[in-house]
Amino acid sequence: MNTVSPYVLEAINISKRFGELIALDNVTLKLRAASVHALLGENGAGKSTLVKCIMGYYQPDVGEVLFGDRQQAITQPHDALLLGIGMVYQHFTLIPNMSVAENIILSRPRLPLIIHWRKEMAELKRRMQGMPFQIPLDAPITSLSAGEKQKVEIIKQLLLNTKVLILDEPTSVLTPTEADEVLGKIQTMSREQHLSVLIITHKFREVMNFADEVTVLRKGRYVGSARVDQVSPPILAAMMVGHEIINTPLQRIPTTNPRPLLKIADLKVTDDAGVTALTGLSLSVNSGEIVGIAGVSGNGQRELMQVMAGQRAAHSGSITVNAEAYTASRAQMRRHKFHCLPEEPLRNACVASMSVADNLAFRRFDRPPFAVHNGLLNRKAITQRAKELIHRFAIKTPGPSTPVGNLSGGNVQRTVLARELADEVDVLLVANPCFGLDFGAVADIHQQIMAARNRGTAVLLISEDLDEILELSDRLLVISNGKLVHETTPEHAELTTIGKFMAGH
Amino acid sequence: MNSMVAVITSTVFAATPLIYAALGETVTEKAGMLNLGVEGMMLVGAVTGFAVGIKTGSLTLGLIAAAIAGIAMSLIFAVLTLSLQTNQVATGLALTLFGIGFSAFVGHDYAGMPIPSLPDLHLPGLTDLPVIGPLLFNYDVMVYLCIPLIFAVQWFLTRSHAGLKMRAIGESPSVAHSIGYPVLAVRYYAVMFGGASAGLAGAYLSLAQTPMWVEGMTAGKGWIALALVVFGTWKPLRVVLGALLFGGVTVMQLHAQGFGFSIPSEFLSMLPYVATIVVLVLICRNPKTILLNQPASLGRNFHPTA
Repeated sequence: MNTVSPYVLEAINISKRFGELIALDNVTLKLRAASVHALLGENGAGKSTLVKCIMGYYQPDVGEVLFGDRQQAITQPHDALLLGIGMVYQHFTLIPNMSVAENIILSRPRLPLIIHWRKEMAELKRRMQGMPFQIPLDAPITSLSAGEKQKVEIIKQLLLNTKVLILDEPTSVLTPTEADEVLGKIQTMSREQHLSVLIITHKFREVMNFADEVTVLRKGRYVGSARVDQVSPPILAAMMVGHEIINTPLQRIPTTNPRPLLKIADLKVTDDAGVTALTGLSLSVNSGEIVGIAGVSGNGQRELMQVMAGQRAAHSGSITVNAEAYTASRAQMRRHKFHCLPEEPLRNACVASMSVADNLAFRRFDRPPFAVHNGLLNRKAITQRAKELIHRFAIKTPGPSTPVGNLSGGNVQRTVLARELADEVDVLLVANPCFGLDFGAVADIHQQIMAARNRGTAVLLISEDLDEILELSDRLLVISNGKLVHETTPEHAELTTIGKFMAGH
Repeated sequence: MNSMVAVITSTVFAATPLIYAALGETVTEKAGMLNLGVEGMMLVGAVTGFAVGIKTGSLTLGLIAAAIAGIAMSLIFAVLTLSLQTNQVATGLALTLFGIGFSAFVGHDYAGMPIPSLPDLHLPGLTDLPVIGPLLFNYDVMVYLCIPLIFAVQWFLTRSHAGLKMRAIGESPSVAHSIGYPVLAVRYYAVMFGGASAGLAGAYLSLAQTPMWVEGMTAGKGWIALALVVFGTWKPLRVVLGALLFGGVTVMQLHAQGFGFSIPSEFLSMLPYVATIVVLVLICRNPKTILLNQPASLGRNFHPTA
């Protein structure tokens, strides 16, 4: 990188508040031309808000945005588009039922009244050749994988002659191989074609490997900026969290006398649209073992979780727990000490408007001591139990009667964890337990899962976060297109091989 | 031969109001708006067209007034669902109920009054040709206006920038919004186009088909138009084909009696509605054809600030 290259985009002293909440407090970000700049911070640090101020979605309360030395009034996304600032959002902004070409054409700020499709297609085909990725133009978006969609989003921006490209968590839906490909190509383009790139991320690996400079935000405040070659992941982590992270390593106690607790044989499941989601999946999990299932989201993980939790009926195949047939009824779950931590716990494992105490009681509210024999609830016992668990699992809540929806993501997950892990557990099912949580909560939750394993629980961990799986599992399986395609152990795991299997080839 | 010609011409005649109403609703639904008030808008269009026609003596003014009345009705729907975010289904049903009552109230004094019907085209030489003459050159102006309208809608949806934008909004308003398209404004226009078409369809009934005003004279044609949009899987040309088919069924009902079938007339007048149900059931047997073409956000409200 040329160290003297000028700034192309500057957001200076930006402040933004939403009612009581101060989302951004005097934040500055300077992006150099022809470089890749990472904007690093935890969830809720204000990264997205800052970018939305730049893009014109929000108007900052204080501060200004300079584009190429001049102050620019960007009052709506259209203005940013006309200036050549393009953004790829975390959630796809593609219209599923339309083709790649239609989506690309739609994104143009100015379009002729009549679309001359033949001419447009010829022009698009010609320009596609200069693009870093190739995607068939007439393919409908619904037929593309998440990685391909991400590529279409990037191509869409590049075709608009974007000078500044903003990517919001671009790799969250990609396999590691795809992520490296996309970021690598973007890095090359920034140098060769004078593209300035701002990447919002919370992954150190991406910052260290692909960015030239980094700006760190914490809780809406500007922490600092640096050249990437002058920092290291521990420094960045300390900047992000605000203090040194004391990382207690996970203790993995060798398991004695493992016995198979959970067995799935030839499980076939269809999804909501009637399409086969699981095509004959078989696996077994022993006591005192964590089996991790890695894969790109949408390859059958959700349906597997739903079948195990009793939210969906299997088409065929069998599940046995403790050598008994298991159909996910409440009685069976209780008998086999079968517990679940589903993904998005606020949606799948809690009633947001009910209190922490009630949510903690869901598993056993209808039995003594929480229910008395005539079917009435014993509120006292429920509250008492909640207080115990809140203390034991360090749930940060104003009190047992606070609605669980008012808690932070980490504490919602701790609440569910407390409910599911408080008693003896034989089989534990976990899906994306740390999605969207901050460092402290992630470490805490990993410790709890490992502790359950060490007590002899059979844990099936489904996660889109490969690092998490590598850290926790004893055995690692890769799911792709509804079947398990690869098995390995974290010690023998090779990222490129896993990535290939995740991508389905 | 002559009876064949009569069947075909009366089929076109019967299909014309359905084509107008269904094309309008197709555009509305392509923008993601489900306006169930077609029946009500048609009735208000019918009574307005008739009243203005009688007062001014000009059927053209009557047609224009009917279109404006349809737009006014659709604006009620648009303001409620788009600006005030009410539920589209409930609002559409309310609009139909309102239209039925309002048209009866306004039309009370006009019931049974005679009005000259829209004149049929007469081209000396061409119209007098045997078979071809009555088949092609002997309709009223609204039938002929239908043809450019069909192609204009088809062209608009597939070829124009505005049509692409509108389809995008019907598929995914949040995406369209993030690209920078004015979702609510486009939806307003689409709803208004549907209103104008429904108003014209209604006026066609009271100025050409029956030429008179009768309370509730649409007799469910608005609902059939709604069904036709699904039948045509939101494609203008198929919608028109469907309208012709239903027109044919309606006509069969009249001619069957003429041909001397001894079927109770109640059963025959039931035919178009039975056909609607049967066809919808048949189409829904393959959910994929519906899912592929149905605008993904049909009937869902959108809040640009949320």
